Formats: sequence, structure tokens, C-alpha cells
Amino acid sequence: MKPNAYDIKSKLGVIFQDVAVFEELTVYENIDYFCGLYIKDKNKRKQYIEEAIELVGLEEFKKFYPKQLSGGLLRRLNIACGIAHKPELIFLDEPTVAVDPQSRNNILDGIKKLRDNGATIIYTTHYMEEVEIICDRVIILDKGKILATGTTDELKELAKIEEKVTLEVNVLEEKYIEQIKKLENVDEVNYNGNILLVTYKKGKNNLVELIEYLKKESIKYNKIYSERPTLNDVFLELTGKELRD
Amino acid sequence: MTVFKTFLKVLNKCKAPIIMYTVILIFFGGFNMKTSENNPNFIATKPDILIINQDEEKGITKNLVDYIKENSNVKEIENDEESINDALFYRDVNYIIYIPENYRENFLNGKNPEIEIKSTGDYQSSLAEMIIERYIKIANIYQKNINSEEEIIENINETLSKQTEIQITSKLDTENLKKATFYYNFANYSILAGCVYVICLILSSFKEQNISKRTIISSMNYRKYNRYLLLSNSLFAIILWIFYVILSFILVGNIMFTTHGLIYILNSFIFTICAVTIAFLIGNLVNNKNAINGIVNVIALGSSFLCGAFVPMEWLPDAVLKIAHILPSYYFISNNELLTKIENINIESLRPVLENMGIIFIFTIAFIIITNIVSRRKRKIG
Amino acid sequence: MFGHNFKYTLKTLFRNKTLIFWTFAFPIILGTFFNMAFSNIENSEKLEIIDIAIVNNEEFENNKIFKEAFENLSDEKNENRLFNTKYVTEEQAKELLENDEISGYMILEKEEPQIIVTTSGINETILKSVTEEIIQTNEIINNIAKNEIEKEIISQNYNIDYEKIYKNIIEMTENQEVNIKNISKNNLSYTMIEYYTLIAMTCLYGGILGMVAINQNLANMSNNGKRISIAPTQKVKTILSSISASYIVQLIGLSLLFIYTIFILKVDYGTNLPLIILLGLVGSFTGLSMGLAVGVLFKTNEGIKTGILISITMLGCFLSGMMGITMKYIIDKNIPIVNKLNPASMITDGFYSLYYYDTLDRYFFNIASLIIFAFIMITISIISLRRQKYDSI
Repeated sequence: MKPNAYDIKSKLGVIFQDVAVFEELTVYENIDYFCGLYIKDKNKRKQYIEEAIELVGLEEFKKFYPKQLSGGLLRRLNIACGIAHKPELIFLDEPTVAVDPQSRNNILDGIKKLRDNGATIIYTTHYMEEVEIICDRVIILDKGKILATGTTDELKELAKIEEKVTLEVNVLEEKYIEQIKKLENVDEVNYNGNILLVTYKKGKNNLVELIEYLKKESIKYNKIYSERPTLNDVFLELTGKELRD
Repeated sequence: MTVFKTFLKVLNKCKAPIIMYTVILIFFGGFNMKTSENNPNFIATKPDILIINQDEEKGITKNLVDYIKENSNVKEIENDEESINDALFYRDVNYIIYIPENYRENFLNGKNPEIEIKSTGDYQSSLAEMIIERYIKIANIYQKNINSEEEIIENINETLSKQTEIQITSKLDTENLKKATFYYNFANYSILAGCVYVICLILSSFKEQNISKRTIISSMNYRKYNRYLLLSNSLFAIILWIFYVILSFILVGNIMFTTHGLIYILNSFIFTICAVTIAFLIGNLVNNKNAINGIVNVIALGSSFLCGAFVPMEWLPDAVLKIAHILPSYYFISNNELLTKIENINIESLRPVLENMGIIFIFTIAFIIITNIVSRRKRKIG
Repeated sequence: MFGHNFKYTLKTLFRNKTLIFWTFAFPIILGTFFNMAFSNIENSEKLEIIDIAIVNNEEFENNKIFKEAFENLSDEKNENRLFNTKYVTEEQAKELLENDEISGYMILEKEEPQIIVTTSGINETILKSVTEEIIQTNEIINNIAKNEIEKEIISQNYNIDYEKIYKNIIEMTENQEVNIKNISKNNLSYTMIEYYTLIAMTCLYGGILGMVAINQNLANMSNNGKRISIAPTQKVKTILSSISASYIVQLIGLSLLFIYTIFILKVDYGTNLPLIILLGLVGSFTGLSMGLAVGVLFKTNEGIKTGILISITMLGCFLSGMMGITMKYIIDKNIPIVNKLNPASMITDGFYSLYYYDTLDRYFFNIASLIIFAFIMITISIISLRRQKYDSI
């Protein structure tokens, strides 16, 4: 894309990771300024700005200066500045870093609304749960290389595990752990403190079998629950578990 | 110790302004300060004169030029009107005398030829005018009564050789005392700007919300922490002061080893302490790093201009000096000025000096009290 | 688009308190300080009436020439009055001198005047000079009288009217006209230079505004710049409108300073108003161009760039006489090339030549130098801007 590809540029919206707003301008003025770079018609612009403010929920802060806003509100302003002109393709670069839960919900809801209004959104994040909530298609990138693409479900299949069962057991002798390992489909058994974690490679109803075994050996347990793998597991599986720089 | 170490680290970042204020001090404090021996004989003030001689340098014209050379500093300036005019405007010369063509001939013919001059209008130029007028008067009188040029010149010179005996009573080394005063007056700016700027920066670094929160939750006693901060800042100010005192020994020289010199040093010490308290007050009032630079400039430049650090006190308008009374710098500079005039140092002659020191001390106490009130209020809010 | 960006650049600049302090308030505050410190200097440098004392011993009371001369020079009605004389005893004179109430005193003993002072200085020199003049006049009168009397004797006229001869001679010495014509210009107030450097400083400080404004537009300088660079706007347009806005802000600040210095501080810029305005416009433009060059060339944060601009400006003002007027003269005289390259000095010298000189050559030379300087700065900025293509930031 060349710097003067204005027709393309006008359809783009980018929200940078760093907050990019003018300290000297109020919330409304900031949005007006950036929107004004795209939309020349004043009335149309006014309407767009109001919509953007409503979308991110900054109605009560229109006259505030960025300095007076909390981290979450500032992030929301940052987003409003990037999408007020109703772009068709929106890039969001980790817009929820260091944001309180309410603001995060607001931001994620807003993004869904943008999608529902017809925009294509490219969203980068480290938070896998966000991906599960809002993304239709996911690309996992590591050091600039694409490791996997697909829908959430497709990606989850890439994880080598199928089911995780967690249960609280106060005392568990070593021989039982060895026996559990030998049960059908069991991939790994972890006993740490009083938590027993059993992961399965395949199969869907492995929980029943485990409970039956526990009954048979009359092992007492408090809680037990089964989970499907999360994207977090997929991510760790794909990129490795060791710490990174 | 940790507080002190951090202090040194922050101080390290303030190198540039400290060096800048010191360079300014050396440059301006040392400017105009060629050392001279104390001279017990009278030295007549000589105005700076430029002679543009359009006549031949012979006979009576030569005698006039010689006379001016003897009684003034004759300057050499490039002979074009612009350079000459610039020289006059910037007081490189106080007085320009244009000796016209055929001056000698016209003078001898009794025409009393017109001499054009340019003058800055200050006292040096008045003195120059007195010197030249005297010569012309005498020359004119002799010209009317004597015919031979040689005899006229002889008579003029004989008359002009009559001099008056002049005695100097004071044994004070006024020249060198004035230098010391000049230096310490200028130090008013450097001490004030240096202390206020650096201490405010350090305080604002320590007070930056995150750091301040960290210190509040740390196990260190809040008061102890403040005391360390005050101590390390005072230490910085005293080091700066010692540095400037040593510099004064280098730049001003011998006079600093006398009792007078001791009082200059004592006076500047008391003022430095006062500057520290001013810095603390400002540091407590202002948290914005960007604002500090502006405030320092306004306070340091303001006190220096108003109280006569840059321009001698005697040249300031009375109204300005009256306003200056509310600033500690006024008393510091007053003391420096007083020192050039005190001949015998004893309790009686030092009284005004001690009084001024007392006033600076009262200012110091007042700043400490105000700082305490301000910081207590701020802590409650925080 | 142009108007939109222009309006918002104005808003951001005007609301930036630090910027407005340095470009608007600081010059005015500094000007006020200058005024307080310098308004009296030139008057103080005029010759003032000197306090002296004369020991009124018998000899002085009987010496008509000395007595009359000093009475005349101390006469309040005399336009050329030099002294305020106290006639006292020797004891009193010593005390007056010790208390610094007089510059010196004269005592006449055995026809020889003696002057007693505490230090060497201008007042003391004048007292000495005046006393000498009296002796010398005395001497002339005696010399000429002797000649006249000799002439009379040679012409064998023994009936000499001594009184008349002396009277004639004294009259002659008193009525000597000294034919001196003062051709100096009126505008000799050198403290004006201080205010001119102040204007120069303000013009160049304005560059900070330009620097901040253009940084808002550049993707590699600020986050906002990134945002602007992805918008469908022409870079040239936004940059031009930002620069124009900062120039306007700069000119408003400069006008305030002009109004303040002219009407409140009574600074004299000469009489040629259009040329004064032209110099202000060109000077500000030069400051702006410098701000742009620094903004574009240095890849650091705004604080450091501001520091660079302030340092350049202060160094320039220092060399053009802000901290001591002599500095400008020393540089002009000895290393003129320095001040020919120094925009602060070009502005200062422009005002100086309007104030002091009747001809305009020097003024237009300065204007031309400023324009060339600005042109070079802008060319550098444009070249550097055109080179910038960002693959990744």
C-alpha cells in the first residue's frame, strides 16, 4: 500500500497498543479531530462521534481531558478515536491491556457490535478467553510465523488432549496413581497437593469410568469436574511451555 | 543509606543544569575581573576617546593629539563610519573627536575652527569633554596673545603641567573588594538557581506518585525518610557552596584570605541555607516537573535582577529596591556591597552586616515553617 | 481538512501550558525584569552633582579666584553645576569623608591646593581636574598679565593700570568660546539591545511551537502521528496546516510582547512601523523553520528537542548581547561571521539598525540573511521528510 492510497486508507481503522490521543483535547474533541481526518461533512461527523461515544460508553466523560480518565476509560477513548469513522476493516492491537473487568466487557461488547454492523476486525491479543468470546477465525502467530489457523473449535482439535478431569483428593497413595495412569485413554496424571489432574487423549465420557474406579477403590474425593481443552492449552501446546523473553 | 544512594543517582541526572549554572558564574563572575595590585596612589579615571584626525599631525594639531593621548585611553577603531558608530553605541568609546582638515592653519589664524564630536552622554564622556574643553580654552587664549606657534605650544604645555596633589586616605583594597562583591553578587543567581532547580527536581522524582507510594509502604519511618531527604539535599547545597567558595579563591584571589573574605564566605553560607529552604518550599508546592524549570527561572532571575546581582544596586530605581526588600537576596547582596566600604572590622562596624544576616536567618525559619504547614496539609489530603 | 487540522492544532498548542509559558509569559516576565534592572542605568551613568567639602581656612577665604570658581560651580542656578560644596573645618571634612558623605575635600595651603579622597574614581578625578583648571587659569592670567605689563614697559608706558589689565585678561579667559559641535545621533540608548534580544528570543522560542505541531503529524515521532499517517489525508496538507497554526500562535505571542514592551516598558523600536512588523514576521518565520528542522532531524522525544531548541536560542541570545550587551559588540567586531550565522543576532541587529541608523542597508542585509537561513532550514526539513517511508515503526 502506498502512502497516497487514500481510497484504501479511508476504509481502515487502527487502534494502537499505546494510547494515541491529544492530552490537550477533551474526549469529544479528540474523537472529532481523528474522525475529521476521514469525514468532512460536519453533521455526519457529529452523528458518528455520538455513536462512537455511545459504543464505548463514554457519554458522561465527553468534556473530560485524557489526564482525568482512568486506564480503562482511556483505552475506550483510544478505541473510539480509531473507529468513529466507521471503517470496514479494523485493526485492534491488544486494546484491553491493563484494563478493569467492566471496561474490558464494554470493549468486547463494542467489538461484537462493530462486527454485527458489518466490519471486519483483526484483533491481536494474548488473552485466549477473549479470543474464545469474540473471534470467528483465529491465527496463532509465533515469532512472525503462522502456527495455526481456523475457527476456535478447529484449533482446539489441534490440542493433543481431549478432556481434563480435576478432582480434590485429600490422601492418595502412590499405587493408585499408577493404576489411574493405566486406565483407558489416560495421557497424564498429576497429583499436586490435594489436586488430582487427569488428562485424556481421546474419548468423550472418560469421567464415568474414573468415578467408577474411585468408587471401586473407595477413594474419597470432594469435588470433581471435567473440562474441554481451552485455547490456552492449544497455545501452550503449539508454542511450548517454557518461559520466553 | 538507600535514600542517599538514590539521591546520588538522581543528582547524577541533574549534572547538566549544575554545570550550566557554574559556567555562567565563572563566565560572568570572572568577567571584568583582571586582577590588579592594590595601588596606594591616585589613578585618574581616563575616558575612552577616539580621535579622527583629518589634519596633518604637525605642530598644534599634534600637540592636541598628544594631550588627549596622555589624558585618556585612545582607542583604535577601523576608520569607517559604521564601525565608529557601533563603537559609540556599545560604549567601546565614550567620546569621538573629529579634528577637521586645516585645523592647524585655521587655529593659528584665529578662526577658532569648529571641532565635531560624538558623545555617549555618560559621565565618562562628560569628563572627556572637560579635558578637551580645557585644552582648547587655554590654547585659544595663548593664540590671541602670542604669535609664534612654538611659543604657544610651549606655553600651553607649561600651563597644563600644573597639577594638583591628591591624597588617598583609605587603606582598603577597594578594587579587589569590588571584585569579590561582583563575584558573590553573581553567585546569588547560581546558588539560588542551582539549589532550587536541583532540589526541586530531586524532590519531584522522590514524590512521583509510584515512588512515593512505595516509600510510604516501606518499613522506613516517614519522618526519618524526610530527615534523610533534607540531609542529603543540604549536603548537596553545601558541596555546591564549597565549590563556589573555592572558585572565588581562584577568581578573586588574595582578598578572600582576609577577614573581609571570611565575612563574604559566611554571608554566602547563610544565604545558601536559606536557598535550600526556599527550594524545599517550592519542591513541596510544585509537583509538575515541567513547571519547575519555569519557576526556577522566574525566581532566580527575578531575585537577581530586582536585588542588584547583575546590575549594581546603586543603579536600580528606588521603587525596585523597595520591592526587593521582601526578598532574602536583597540582604545577601546588601552585605556584599557593605563589605567594600567597611574599613575596620569590629562589632560596631559590622552591625549592619550582622543585622542583614539575621534577616536572612528569619527568612530561613519562615520558609521552614511554611513548608511544614504546606506538607502537613498535603499529606492529609494524600 | 486544512481548516479542521488548523483549528485543532491551535487548540492543542494554546492548551499546552508549558509551551505557552515559555513562548508567551516568559519573555514578558524577563522583559519586566530587564525594565526593573536597566531602566535607571543610563541615567545613573550621567554625571551627577558631586558632594565635596572645602576647608574654609583663612587662605581660602582670601583667595578670590578659588572662592569664586567653586562658588560658581556649586551654584544651583548654574546649568553646568558640578558640585554640592560644604564649607567646613578640616576636622569636619575628615569626618564627612569617613562617613562617605563626600567624595573628597580640598584644602588650600601655601597657595597649593591639596585634595584628599578615599579612592580613585570618576568623581575624584573630576574634583582633581577642576582644581587643576583653576590653578592653570590662574597661571594663564599671571603669564599674560606679565606679558602685557612687559609690553607696556617696552613701549615706555610707565603709568600702568594693573587693575584694568587683570580685568581684561580675566574677562578674556571667561569669555572663551569653545567651538565644539555635537553630531552624535539621538538614539544612543544601548539598553534597548536587551529588549531586541528578548524579541529575538521570542521569535526563536516560537520554533518550539512549530516543532511540537509537526511532531503531532509524524508517525515516527508520536503515537498521534501514527494515527494521522493512516488517515486518508495528504501529508503535505496536514503538515502545512499545522505549521500555519503554530506560526499564528507564535505571532500572537510576539504581538503581545511588542504591545507590552512598547506601551508599558516604553521600548523604542525606531519609527518605521512597517519594517518593524516585517522584521517580526521574518524573525518568527526563521524561528519556525529552525523548530521544524529540529523536529524532523532529531529522532528523540519532545523534551530533548525542546531542550535543543532552548539551548540554541539561549546561546544565540547570549552571543547577541542578552546577558551583557558588550558581548554582541565583541563578536561583531572580532568574529563577525559568528553573528552573521546566528539568527538571534540577525534579528537583534535588524532592530538595532532600525533604531540607530538612518540608512536601511544594514536592516535589509539582516532581513535577507534571515530569509536565507529559514530557506536552508526548510530545505533540510523537506529533504528529511521526503526520505521518511516507514516500513515498520
